[in-house]
Amino acid sequence: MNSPLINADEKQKSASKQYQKQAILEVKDLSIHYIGANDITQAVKKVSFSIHPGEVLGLAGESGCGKSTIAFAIARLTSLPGLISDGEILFKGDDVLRYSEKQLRCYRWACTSLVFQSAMDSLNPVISIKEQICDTILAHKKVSLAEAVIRARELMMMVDLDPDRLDEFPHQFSGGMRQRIGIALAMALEPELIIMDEPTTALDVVVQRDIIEKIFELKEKLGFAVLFISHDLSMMAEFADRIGVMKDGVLLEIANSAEVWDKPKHAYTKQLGEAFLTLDAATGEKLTPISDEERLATPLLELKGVHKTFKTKKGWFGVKNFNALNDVSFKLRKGRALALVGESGSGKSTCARILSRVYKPSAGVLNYKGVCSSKLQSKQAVSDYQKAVQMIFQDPFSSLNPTLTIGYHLRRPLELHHEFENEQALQAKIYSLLKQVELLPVEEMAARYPHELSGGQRQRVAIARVLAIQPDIILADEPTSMLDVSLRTGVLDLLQKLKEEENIAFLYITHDMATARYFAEETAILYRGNIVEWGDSQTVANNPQHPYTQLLLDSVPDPKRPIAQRIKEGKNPLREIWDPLGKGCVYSQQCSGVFGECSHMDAPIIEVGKNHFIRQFEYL
Amino acid sequence: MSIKQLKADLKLGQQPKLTWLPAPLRVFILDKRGAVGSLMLLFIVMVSLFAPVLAPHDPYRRSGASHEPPSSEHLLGTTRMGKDVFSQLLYGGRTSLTVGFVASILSTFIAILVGVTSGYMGGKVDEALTFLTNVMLVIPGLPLIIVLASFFDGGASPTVIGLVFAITGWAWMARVLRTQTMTIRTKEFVTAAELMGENRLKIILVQIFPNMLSLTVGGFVLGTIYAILAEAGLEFIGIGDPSAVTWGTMLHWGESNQALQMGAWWEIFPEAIAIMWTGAALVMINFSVDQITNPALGAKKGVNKINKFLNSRGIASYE
Repeated sequence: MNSPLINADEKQKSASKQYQKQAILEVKDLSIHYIGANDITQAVKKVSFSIHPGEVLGLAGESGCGKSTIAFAIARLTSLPGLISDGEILFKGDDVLRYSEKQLRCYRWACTSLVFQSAMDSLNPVISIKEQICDTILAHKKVSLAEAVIRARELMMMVDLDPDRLDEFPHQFSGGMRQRIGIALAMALEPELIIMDEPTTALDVVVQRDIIEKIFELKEKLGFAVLFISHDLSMMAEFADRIGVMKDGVLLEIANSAEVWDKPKHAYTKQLGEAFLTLDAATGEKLTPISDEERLATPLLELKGVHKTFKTKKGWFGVKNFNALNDVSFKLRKGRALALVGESGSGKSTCARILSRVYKPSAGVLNYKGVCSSKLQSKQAVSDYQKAVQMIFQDPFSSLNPTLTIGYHLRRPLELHHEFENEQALQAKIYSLLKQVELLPVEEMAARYPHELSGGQRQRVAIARVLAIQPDIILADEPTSMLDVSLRTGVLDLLQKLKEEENIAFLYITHDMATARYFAEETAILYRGNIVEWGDSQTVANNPQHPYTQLLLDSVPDPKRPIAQRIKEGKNPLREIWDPLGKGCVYSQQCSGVFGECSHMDAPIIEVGKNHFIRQFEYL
Repeated sequence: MSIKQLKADLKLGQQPKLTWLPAPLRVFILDKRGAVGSLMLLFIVMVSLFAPVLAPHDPYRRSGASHEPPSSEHLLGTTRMGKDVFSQLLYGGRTSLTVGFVASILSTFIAILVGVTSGYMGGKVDEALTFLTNVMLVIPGLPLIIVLASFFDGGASPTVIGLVFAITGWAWMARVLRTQTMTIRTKEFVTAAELMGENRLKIILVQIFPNMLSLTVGGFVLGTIYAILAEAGLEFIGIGDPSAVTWGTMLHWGESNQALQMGAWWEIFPEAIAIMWTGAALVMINFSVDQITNPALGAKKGVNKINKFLNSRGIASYE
């Protein structure tokens, strides 16, 4: 056996003093295989750990490391082609792997329950919340429906949801609320262990903060143990008692979370921790500040006072206007990046779509090299604009066509926008592009199909495809958020290189302040269609002036501030006021709305420092 | 029992066969049902194709006495009119298969044209085409042919029947393809191609259509089965042209001549078996196409061997 595991055992012994009670779950030498078309591969290799009552055990690792496979095995949800091949999973001394179907029914949900990553998919959209919770209770307990409803109301209150909304359906709740319902459902039978498989990954940072604080409070109150699975080591370091780090199916180390974060034993843990850009680590040392001349020069692309209103249907004939963007202005400069930071629904992607001319702005202008481009007429002008402004998408799995080779993906943009003397010249250009994005060997890569590449490689192909056109401006819509942490900095560094060498202007759309600070010279914070604060990235991150920016920065996981301490300090009061999912305009929380036409739209802009602006807010 | 043993039991890790073929085709050929289906279909197509060479007699003329039982002279006996059943079977196959395939090819073609166009273009074009599709969906194909047949002297010829199927049969598939196109159209690779300035035809033909090829092939195979069976059915009830030689008219004559009651089973069974044979071949091909579209169907393979492995280790097995 390799040394980290022995270390892990020692750690467990020292930890067991802390938890005098018997371990609630013990995993011993668990091995899980996957049966493929040509081979049987081992996904989990002799993993051993234990969970004690009331403990939060974090399991960290990148995609494909086997962490979710273990979670499913503990609930005995492994199905073919997965195969639990060896080991024991002892729940209070009983081996779960030897349970019959009948025993399993008693064990699942009543002893261990699960919270899944996507609450959208784990709640049935056509059944009301009440029924889903009551069904769960009635399937296991001999109680009357009325009693089950009382319990359901109790559960809703536990997760801070209005119990009168029990009769509503999943789509009537927001993403964060659905995840709370998922947690309520998991607690319905008072299990002693709740397995959470990336419960906050799909959520925005402020909502994520809400959810993990709620989980922590409930755990303290009810005393269940949590197996928390995530790729986010920094969040885990703040939240979990102990952390196990996995790679390629092997549990490399398991120790108290502070130890894992501050003094990692294993080289990989160190690497994983460093790959995670925390706000303090990302100081943007690779960036050069923007000179005053640059600020005065005509920007490459400029949005001036852009509004975008969508018409949504209301009732049978009524039309309701929805303001997606409100008076948005920003400039993109040659060889510079502007980060547009905001939560989902804040209008980030609408901005990108307006810049790429998929949407037309309802009001305001779009200037390209100082010329208004929102109403291009001639075919040539449209083609020129398309050539100049290109986009990199968030999901590398959907942005490449599975039926076409990598070579074809690069060939078409070259054929469309450039002329080549002969086939060889074109081929050579394809190879040089692949080389530029570090996909080697080039001949082999060009012949491959997207499914033969990893997520990071695919994103590189998407970047190469955009480079083939030689654009002036690249709109990057969360280009790293779907990638594993260790690949993120690689892709960002590649974009950084292009920014410097090819003098391309970037609009970097993200929800992550840390990467914005790492990659972009300027940052603008978008809140419900309004840019509320903008300026140099360093200034905005170090000295946020707008309460929403302050809230965003405060919500970012910080291993130096453990969750218990945060809860003692009390909830950030800003959270109540600045709700990104609230309805109406930015000030609707303070406004009774009885005065007819909203006059809040044109809040004045204040310069709070050199090149640092905020939109005025009224509530203080 | 070791993992190695299980791997050997499941016959994994053997050198993959036919690596030079593209992956979907390889799955298709290596799947037993697909291979058997294709062979069965190939056989009947070849036999029909070479009917002029293989048939011993002219299928349209008397070549023997009434209801002669099978013999070396007449392999499958003769009809009541004294025509050779074997020759009729071969020539009948030519018409039946041609009608089936041509009708299906035509209706698939219309379905792709209408479905993909309306799914991709959206808006007014989509509304108009969806309206047309819905109208076609409520026009029943079989009664329409029965009505049409009365306009033709001596019943509807196989060509007419095929054309009517092609014109009435595309609507379902057009709907399926429209929905699928709408799904694929929202994928980012299509947006990327649009932003790149790719022309619409290339986006539809190169970016979108190959992603629903297996769906289209599946629809085409099912359409062929439907066309062959429906054509035979119509002719059997006497709607078709009785002077044409097809499997359907052969059944029609056999039935109206009361062949079974007279003990002349050979006038009914051969064409009935030929129709079943073709149907079975196409269904098996369709199963195999399904396997390509939906690889999850193959996941449960070898579950008994896996359970044996689990039992040997004392771990609860799969159901």
